[in-house]
Parts: sequence; structure tokens; C-alpha cells
Amino acid sequence: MGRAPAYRSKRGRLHKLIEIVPHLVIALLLLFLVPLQPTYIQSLATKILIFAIFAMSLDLLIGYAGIMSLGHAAFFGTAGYAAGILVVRYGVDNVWLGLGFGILLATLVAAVFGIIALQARGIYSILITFALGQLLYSFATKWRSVTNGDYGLWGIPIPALGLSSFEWNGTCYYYFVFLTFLVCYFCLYRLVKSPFGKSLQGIREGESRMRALGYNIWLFKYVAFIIAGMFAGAAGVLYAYHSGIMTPGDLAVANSGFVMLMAIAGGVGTIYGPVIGAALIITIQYYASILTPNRWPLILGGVFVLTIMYARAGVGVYFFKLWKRVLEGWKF
Amino acid sequence: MEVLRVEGVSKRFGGVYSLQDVSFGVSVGERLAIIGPNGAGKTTLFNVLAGQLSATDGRVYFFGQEITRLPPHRRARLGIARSFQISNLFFNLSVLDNTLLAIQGRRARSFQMFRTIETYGDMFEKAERLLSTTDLWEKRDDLVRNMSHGEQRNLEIILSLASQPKVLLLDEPTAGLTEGESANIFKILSGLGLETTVLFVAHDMDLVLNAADRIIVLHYGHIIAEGTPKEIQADPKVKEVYMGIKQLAYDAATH
Repeated sequence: MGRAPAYRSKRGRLHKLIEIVPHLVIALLLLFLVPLQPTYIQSLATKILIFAIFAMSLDLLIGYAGIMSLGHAAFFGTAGYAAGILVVRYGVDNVWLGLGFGILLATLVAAVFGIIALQARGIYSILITFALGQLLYSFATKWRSVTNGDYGLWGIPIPALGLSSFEWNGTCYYYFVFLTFLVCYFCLYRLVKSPFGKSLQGIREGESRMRALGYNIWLFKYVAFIIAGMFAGAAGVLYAYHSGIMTPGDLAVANSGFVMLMAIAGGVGTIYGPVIGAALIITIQYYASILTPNRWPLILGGVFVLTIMYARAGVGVYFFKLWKRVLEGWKF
Repeated sequence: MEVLRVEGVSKRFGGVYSLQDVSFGVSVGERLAIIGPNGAGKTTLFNVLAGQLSATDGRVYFFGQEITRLPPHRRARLGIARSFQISNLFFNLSVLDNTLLAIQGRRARSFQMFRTIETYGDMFEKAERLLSTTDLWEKRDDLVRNMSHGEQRNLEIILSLASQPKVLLLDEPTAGLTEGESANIFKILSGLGLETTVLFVAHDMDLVLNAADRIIVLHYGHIIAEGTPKEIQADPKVKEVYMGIKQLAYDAATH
């Protein structure tokens, strides 16, 4: 049976070009240029890609479903700790097991938190996500025999991919993170353009209308919450291997705020925005911490305030609009 | 056959009854107008029928099945659609996206996550058919918040029609429209087949007298008259309510 022909947008080919070119350029840079750079740049790029996954997952909630969360680091941290504990306490250094176990645990935590947090709405829902995140934080500080408490769970090595004859180094790990990032980006890109993604946008815009149209709002939000937790979990596992240490702070509200800053600075409601936000914030954090080792949070705070005041739509969105105007100016 | 049956429905907000002991039935294909002065309980009645509010007392049946406590999305899935008195649209999405959301609302497809919405050609064809009844198809990529009031009212109706409902509840579809725009809404209404039953609230008497088979008059939450447009026009009680004559005497007699 033939499918009905796909819908063609009025905007057509130019619109496609506008989207594809920046994606291609950035992908090629990440693929070929970054590995040629010194180690610290590679490490910085690895961290950016990890936090890009994390920020995209939060954007699914903030920018698409319209759910604010101050506890998103809970999923990130849970997964990171899970993978770390597997290596440090049980000697399981297989990256697939680490990823699988970490993501599974993060998904379960999201499934439980979602039931509680989505009972309330607006500011109350934010407070619940905050409280649940802090609950896990206190777990991480108090359960010393497993998590090492405030010292942090250190000594997490870069994992093996199951190829024992192969020497794993930072560049290999960078490529692994890059691949994972591509998979996550592609999945989330498809998701937000799917009927499900459109439904989330509808919920963000008007819940009562969506209900009247036959949508079970709660179920949509809940599924989105779990999916976001899953991707945050993937980022958490990658982060644990990358940094070599998980501290209770990685679970806590400061980290949730940090990733929210990235998502908002880059532009929520788009998938590329949080990626640009992550690149921006982590680069600033890196160079600011070299400049003033003790006062860099002050600089980040300033960036946050400036973004909210002058670039609320997000820096990434402004870049994209500028680029679009340039291309449209050429008149194809 | 009866589509809707309302039995002894009351809705109380604190100490105030918005609806009190309201009973009526609606048969398939009927065009039923609900009229009454402001605050008569017309919108409350629609909210109770579509599920935005649940009745304090009494029961609501849809094709014999009780739906009194069903949440709105379940009622929508059964085939009850409504429009809103104050346009309730997705203002930051395009006209087309608004329509697509309305079309996929009753389908399991809305949980599909890995196929882009553009590949569902049938939904776009349907959106084109719906939007082409007005000139909205030409403006399909515009954001709803940038459209005129009249265009938004048209879209409001199109969204409620998109799911091919069995019962359509239209809450003041022509409120604030020019005569030409109202005529357009009337055209959409009269184009509907008899498989769709329509209940509508309106202050616009032209629309009521031309489009309705039957009229129910609400006043302070009570049904004070019910009948064909001719009967209602001749009803002395309705005249009193609308003209305000002997208002106090009437109130004294009914309380």
C-alpha cells in the first residue's frame, strides 16, 4: 500500500539548506579539527558534548513540554554514580554495562520523581523537583560505604570498549562521546519533530485546549519526564568516566541550575540551542577559572543575568536567525 | 436516537448555583441553541458536558453511557468536541500546527516519537481540507498570535471540527465578529452533515433563529423555556427575561 505523499513546506529547499550547512560545518569541525588539538582542548570539547546532551534533555522539559525542573541533575548524578560504583566497587569497567546500568537507574529515578513532581503545577512542581534532588544529594553524602561521601567517588578510569588489544586514550574517549552525542542529538531531533514532540509543544502552549482535543496531558508529561531523565542519565555516565570522580555536588541543585543556564543561554525550544549554550558556558567557565580561580562563579552569574536581560530567546537562536537572514539575502 | 441526556444536573460554586436541576435530551443531528442573559449558566453547562467541570449533582449520558465523572480528554475521545468563548488556541504555533494537533488528538499516533510529522501525508491533506473552508490555508505558516480576531475565531471552530466529533459544543462562535465574519461561521455550521449534533451558545439572534431546530433558554441556572424558534419567540417568560419587564415579580414567583 502506498503512503500518502509527504507534505512539502512552502519554504522548501532554502529552509533545508539553512539547517543542514551549520550542522555539517560543526560536525566536521568536531570530527577532524578537535582531535588535532592539544589534550586540554580535547578534554574541554568532551565536556562540552557531555553537557550538551544533558542540556538538550532538560530542554525537552523546559522548552517543549513546559515543565520547569530544578532537580534534573539528580538523573545525571544517579547515572554517574551508578557507573562509577560499578567500576570502583565491583571492577566492572565495560562501558556498555556502565551506560546500560546508569541509564536504567536514571530512568527508574525519573519514573518515581515524575509521579510525585507532576502532581503539582508551576512553582510547586519546581519545588518538588528541587526537594527530590536534594534528597538524593543527602543520600550521596551520607551513604559513605558506597559513595565515599563528601570526598567523592574517585578513581573512575576511562572505560574499555571491550577491545583489549587497543590502547584507550583521551582521543578515543572523545570520539566515543562524540558518537553518543550524535545518536542523542539525532534521536531528540526526531522526537521533537514527531507527533509526540508536537503534542508536547501543544501542552506547553495550552493545556486546557489539549485536554479538550483528547490528549491525556499527564501521561504525555510523564513520558517526557522519563525520556529526559534517560538522556540526562546517558550524559551522567559519560561525565563520570570523563572526570574520573563523582561528587555529591554533581547531584545537587547547583548542577541543575548550571545546566539550566546552558539551556536558557543557548535557547530553549530548539534542539541546537542547548548545544551552543553548553559550548558557551563551559568555555567561559574554563577560561574564567584560569583567570580567577576563586571568583569564576561570579562571572557565570553575570553571564546568566545578561542573558536573561538581553538575549532571552538564547544566543544560539540569535546566531541561527542571523545566519538565516544572510542566506535569504543571497536570493536563491 | 439520543446523543446526549442531561438528568437533574446542578453545579454549585460555594453557595451559588450556576446550574440548578437542569434536564434535557438531544437527538442525533439536532441543532440546539442555548440562550440566556449573561451569567445564566450557559458556559457552565458546556463545561459540565465537555468535562472541564464536573456536576455537583445529576448525571450526563452520551449515547446511553454515563460520562458524568469522565475527564475531558476521555470525553473528547468518545466524540465530544468543543470550542471556547475566549479563543483557546496555541498562540505561539503556526495555524498548520494548531490544526495538526487537533487532527491527531483522538489518535494513538500522537505517541509516535521517531517519525517526523511531515511524513504523515494524510494528516496534511486533512488539514488542507479543513483550512480551505476559510482562507486560512494561505496563512498556514503564520503564528496564530499574529492573526486577526476573526481569523482566530474561525480557527477556534476548525480545531473543534478537526476530530470529526459526534457532538460539537460551540460557545459563542460569533462573539465579537463583523457581520461578514459571522456569515462565514454560519456557512461552516450549515455545511456540517447530520451525523454531527451541534449545541451552541449565542447572543446573535439571527444565528439562533436561522440555525437552530430547538432553543433552550437558561436564566439563573434554570431552564425557563424550551421549544422551536417560533415557540420561543412567542413565549412571554422569555420576553420578560430579555426585556427585563416584571423582572422582580418573576423572581419573587420562582423563589
